[in-house]
Amino acid sequence: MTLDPGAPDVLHIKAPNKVTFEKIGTVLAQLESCLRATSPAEARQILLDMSSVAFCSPTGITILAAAIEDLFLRGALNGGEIWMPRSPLLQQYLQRMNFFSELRVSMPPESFERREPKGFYPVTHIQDEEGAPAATRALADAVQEHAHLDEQSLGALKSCLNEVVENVFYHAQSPIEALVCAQAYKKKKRTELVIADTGRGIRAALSEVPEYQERIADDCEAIKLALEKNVTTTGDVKRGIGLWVASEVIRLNEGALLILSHDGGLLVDADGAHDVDDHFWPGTLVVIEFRTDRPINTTTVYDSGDFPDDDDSFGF
Amino acid sequence: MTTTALASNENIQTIHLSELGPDLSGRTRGETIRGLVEPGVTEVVFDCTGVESMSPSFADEVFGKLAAQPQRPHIKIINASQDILALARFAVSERLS
Repeated sequence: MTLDPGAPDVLHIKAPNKVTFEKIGTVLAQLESCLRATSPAEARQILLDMSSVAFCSPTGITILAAAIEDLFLRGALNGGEIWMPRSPLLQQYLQRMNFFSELRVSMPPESFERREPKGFYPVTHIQDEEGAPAATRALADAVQEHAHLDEQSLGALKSCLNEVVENVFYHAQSPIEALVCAQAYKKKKRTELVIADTGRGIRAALSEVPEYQERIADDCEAIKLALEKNVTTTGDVKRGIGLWVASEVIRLNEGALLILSHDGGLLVDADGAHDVDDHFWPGTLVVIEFRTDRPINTTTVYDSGDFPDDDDSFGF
Repeated sequence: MTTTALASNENIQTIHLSELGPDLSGRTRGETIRGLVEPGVTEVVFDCTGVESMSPSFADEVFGKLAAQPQRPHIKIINASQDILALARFAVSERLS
């Protein structure tokens, strides 16, 4: 231990016992003033104290990695250290999840034997739209080892994921590009997928369209609008179906969709849609919880269209 | 990328979508595929052999926008799963509605 937690040039972040979405609020609260600062003061060192951490979820890991990386990129941080979780298994898990390499923390070479991922996809950067299909395919293949989804459900999951990831490149202007991570939980029959950026947020993107101004009074309203069909910033009123389809697929699956964007958030689950307004996220964060015990039939979503069956110029 | 075949004096173009990969997504890729449709063809056949998933944006960019063109060719989709066919029909419906 070299850093003094009380030193003024040290940003001391104490991680809770569970680094999950439910508990990540305490970390985000500690980071909030730095994450909100548009012009950071002199760069500080971060001391990430994970000594009390006993459990990490993909969402928690991705949030931490993305937030800290964003602060480094903005010049708010120039180095630091991590106080490791006590559990060697958790340390190994974090290493396999690319958590330390994302934070550019070098680990002692003898620390762990690297094994192939099983049922999870480590924190990974997707740098552009071109890289999205390969990354989402690798992610889906990784979770499928434990998820065992049928062909149609797997296709639907990949399709949802691609739509969310592509939105980052179309709209977010994110300095960290897109960070993705996932894990399938065999016993819980759930898969958790996370897509994070630190861009301008949904409200800022939608505010480019004059017609939406009155409907985006705050970030929560902007997220709700973004989930509606044919809401787009492109001016092409026939676009804007991707996120709507993704939310419908997750609704059919009886999973959950969580979106955080700056000061707003929305959780859509089997009980409906609920505002989440007690977190600040410097960009847009999407968490998809997909039930692996609920095969879905996407034709139910797509059949909502009114196809011109009497038009013989279509052979399908 | 594309194979064009002339059959029975008809100008039919076949596009094998899996050459882009088994998972088709992205408007840029969709636009590229639509741009392959040659002017004057009477029918374009999209062969989905090997395609495992397709995103709504990709489907809109290929099938939806092609269907919305005033001088569109006959559009045929072969070897597609039921969900991809349903998505293609959805994309066309959205564009023509």
